[in-house]
Amino acid sequence: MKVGIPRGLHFHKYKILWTAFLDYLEVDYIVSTKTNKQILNRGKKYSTDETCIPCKIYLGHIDYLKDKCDYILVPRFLGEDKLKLECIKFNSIYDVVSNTFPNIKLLEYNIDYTKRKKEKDEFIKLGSMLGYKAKDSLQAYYYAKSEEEKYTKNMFKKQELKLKIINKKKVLILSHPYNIFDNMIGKPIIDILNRYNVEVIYSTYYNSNKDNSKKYSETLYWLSSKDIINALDYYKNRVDGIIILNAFPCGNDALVNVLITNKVDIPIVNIVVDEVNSETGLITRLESFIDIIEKRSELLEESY
Amino acid sequence: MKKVISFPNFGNYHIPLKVFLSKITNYKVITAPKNTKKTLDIGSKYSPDYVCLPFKYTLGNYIESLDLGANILIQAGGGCRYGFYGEVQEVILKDLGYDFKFINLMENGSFSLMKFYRSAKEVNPKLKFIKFMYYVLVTLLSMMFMDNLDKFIRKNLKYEIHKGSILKIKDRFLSFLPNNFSVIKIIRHYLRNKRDIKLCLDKSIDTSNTLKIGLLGELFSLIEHSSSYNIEEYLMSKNIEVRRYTDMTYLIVKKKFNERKILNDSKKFSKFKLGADSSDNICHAIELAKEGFDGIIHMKPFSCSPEINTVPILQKVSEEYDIPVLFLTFDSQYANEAIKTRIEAFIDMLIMRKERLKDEEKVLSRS
Repeated sequence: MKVGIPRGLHFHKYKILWTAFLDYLEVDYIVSTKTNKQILNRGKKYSTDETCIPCKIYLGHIDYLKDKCDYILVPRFLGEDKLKLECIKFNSIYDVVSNTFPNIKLLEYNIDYTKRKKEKDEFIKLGSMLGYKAKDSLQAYYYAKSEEEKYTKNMFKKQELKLKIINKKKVLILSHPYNIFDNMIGKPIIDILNRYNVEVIYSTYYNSNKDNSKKYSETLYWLSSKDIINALDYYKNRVDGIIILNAFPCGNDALVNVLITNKVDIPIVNIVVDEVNSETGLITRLESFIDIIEKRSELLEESY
Repeated sequence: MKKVISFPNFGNYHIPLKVFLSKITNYKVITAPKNTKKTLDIGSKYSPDYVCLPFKYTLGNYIESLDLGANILIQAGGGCRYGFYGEVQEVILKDLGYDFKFINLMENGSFSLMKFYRSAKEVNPKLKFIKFMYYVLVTLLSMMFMDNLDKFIRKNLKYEIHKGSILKIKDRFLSFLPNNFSVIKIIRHYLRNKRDIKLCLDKSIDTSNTLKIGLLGELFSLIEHSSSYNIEEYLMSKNIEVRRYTDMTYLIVKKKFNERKILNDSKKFSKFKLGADSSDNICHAIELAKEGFDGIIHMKPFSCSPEINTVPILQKVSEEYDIPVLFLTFDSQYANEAIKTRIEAFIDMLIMRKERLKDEEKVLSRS
């Protein structure tokens, strides 16, 4: 039996958890290739015109996987708390996939606060679907959880080292993991920044147990946006500029951006990624942004 | 400074809400000017680019009523992104330099009546809880009666003898609603008007050829007709029976009790609850198809994610139950004629389809 994992949406957040869980149980699995133009085109063919690009890419990955494996892992997320909801796209992605591709078999687990079940229970259920006893899947879950913790700690340490470099400009990318780490959405921007010798800090990895998002917004109830705001609060005094990366047309981000941009006093640029993206346009915008950062730090040094 | 209260437009519900707010606060209440192209232009000028359409309309409403002198604004949206509108709108309006008090009735992601009472008490310290609850009850009752009357009219407009008489009675009902703002009076007012409407109907009119169309979709575009090019009125003027499930009564009362039924009915197409009104729409689409409706019009504002998720599933329902669905998306561009052309074509198609089905039936019964 072979399990397929599409490299889209929540893969970028839970990749270690999922792969380590399957590794421990010795289940054969395949992760779809990195997003490329072909996958985007396949996704476009299957999705409604107005969905956001991450969702289109996700359907493209499913299409890529559909004859390469027996089961495809498509979890459903509502949120673990009333005030920690996921984007509404994640509530229904399972049903959208099962309706667009009626002939494939899906593996699911469901994070839903109204059902009063924890992630642990859902992974036991997932294990039983794969044919493993509760004991084995529980061990696998704890193993995967510890691996995930190790990985995020490691990434966070790397990021701290990056921040300590003195003679390089640092730019914080604020976005959801499925935007930053996608090969078509975030990768071109990171590549350009690296080419201009700028250190890139990801908003995904930050270290704070406190929820500081209340300082920026009182009624916010999206988990992913809370993460972004917390990362902003954690890094804002230690970076030279901020790039807000949005996928078109993300309404949640559009609302949250209004709250963020008012409360930060370092250079900030909002880049919206569309499915028709020219690299030249990106280069121009990022180049001028880097120029602004450099000019600003020169001026600040002079004023000392 | 004199205090003036205002709130955004939402269908005809501004009528009972206006009376309600003025009763509990003793301040002047003004309703926002009717939604026009200007409202939308102002709203979209100051909103983020790709936020959903209701945000733009309500922001436009706020700005227009602030210009008319309002200084207390009320927001009470909940669910999906509506719950987050209030805070962002407050920030945008404060940035524009307006001086006002913003009352957001959402608490922890859902509407809270106690918070409403507390903020009303702040404004009017003499308010008693019993009085407050009484007026809440009357407001809910009048909203329910408005919805019931609307539902009755939508269902029975095809039996109307003289064109336009029923809508006149409805206008009368709405305009005298503020004068009848107590439990007994509102019931009597409703019954009287319903009887009048019944007198205007002739049930013996042959209606086998009238089309039946169901309206589904996102709640704002369904209830606030100006944001959806008055499609409902247009269909009704073409003598088509319209069915619409989403109204205030449904959102406040029925939806909570229907949850399990809806999950059960839509199980064939969706395993989980889809968020916002999506599951309801799928369940209602199945119901419409089973009841022999001729077509469905599905409406949503641009970038409404729950309804975008509904589209692939509705397409499947349409395939399986053989019922045509027209998908419409509304954006901040004003394209009245384009929408009208599409609807006209849809209606023509439904008429031809109905005739074809009838002919086929005849052939079958002969053989």
